Amino acid sequence: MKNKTEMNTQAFDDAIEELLSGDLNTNQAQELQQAAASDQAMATAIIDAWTIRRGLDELETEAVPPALEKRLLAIPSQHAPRKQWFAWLKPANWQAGPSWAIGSALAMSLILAIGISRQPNPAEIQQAREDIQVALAYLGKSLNQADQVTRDELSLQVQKILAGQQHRPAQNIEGDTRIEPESIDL
Amino acid sequence: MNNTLQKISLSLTLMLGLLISTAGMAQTNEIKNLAGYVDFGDLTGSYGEPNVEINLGPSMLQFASAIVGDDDPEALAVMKGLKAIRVKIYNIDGNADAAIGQIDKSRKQLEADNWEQIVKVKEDGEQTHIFMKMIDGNIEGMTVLVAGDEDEAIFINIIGNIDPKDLGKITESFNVDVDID
Repeated sequence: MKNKTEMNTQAFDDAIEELLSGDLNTNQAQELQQAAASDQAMATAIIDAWTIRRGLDELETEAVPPALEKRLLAIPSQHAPRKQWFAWLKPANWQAGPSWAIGSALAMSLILAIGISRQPNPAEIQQAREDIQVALAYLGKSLNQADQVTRDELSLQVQKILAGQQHRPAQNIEGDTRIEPESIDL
Repeated sequence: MNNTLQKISLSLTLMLGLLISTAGMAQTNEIKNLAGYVDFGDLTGSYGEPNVEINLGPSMLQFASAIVGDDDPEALAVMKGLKAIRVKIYNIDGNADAAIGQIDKSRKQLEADNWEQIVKVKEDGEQTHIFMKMIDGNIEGMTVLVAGDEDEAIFINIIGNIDPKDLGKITESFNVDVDID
């Protein structure tokens, strides 16, 4: 298998598309995978294509109604399963299950792995703290632009709403008219 | 590199790509599904990319606030109530029309979603709107929408349990030099 720089763009794109669609035969898939293992550009292109495909799948996927899902699962797997691009990962004695189950299991494993292992590095945490500072600064600026509004007044309104009182109009300042806190119609 | 190592290498590379993309999408969807989430629309067509865009989800808030814990338990308690902080700031360069149009859209949607408008200020061409989302006696979110004569349009969405009176606790804790009284 040629590497990315040796293949023309169309052939390269076609090969990736066929790989992700499971349309390559085992030998072709293995060749492409081996080429990708030693060609960073090719590996990156495959990952990008895979990521895009995943995103599109998510956009287009709607939840299957439980009743339909049961019926679908009840269909015996009498038809030969379509060859998957990741078939090369399977041991020779692998008992193939439904492709959706393999995909789901892989996705669930990864999501669990994300939850368990994904830890932001110190730079990301510092960036988050700076983002919080910026957010709070703009929040303060916005409240100041509301002029007479103070956080205690806002809190008072919130507490009254939470206490179940009837909905009140917002504190309303229009034109040059200032409504002092004690005259706010709650 | 032998064949097996090549396979493992490629598998790990593919999984890493999938892991990163899945994590990003999962967090975005998680935030969008929260009751306190507000859709700010997209004003890039009018003003270009936002000058400031902040999207902090629960996990980053948790890590970022851990450092205040020992010194300021009150601030930590406030931070623990937060699920996300989102900010979009556009440079409107004196033309607030698109920003005000978006604010009107957002206001209508918020009202339809039973948000409470607790502040509405229209003064000297400036508009400031503050809404709170409350469900069953709990604060689920707050949003601040500002546009007008200033050069910036401000869209802020704090998702989670945030009482305005507690804002001072976290501004002090994060050393924010802004008087929000």
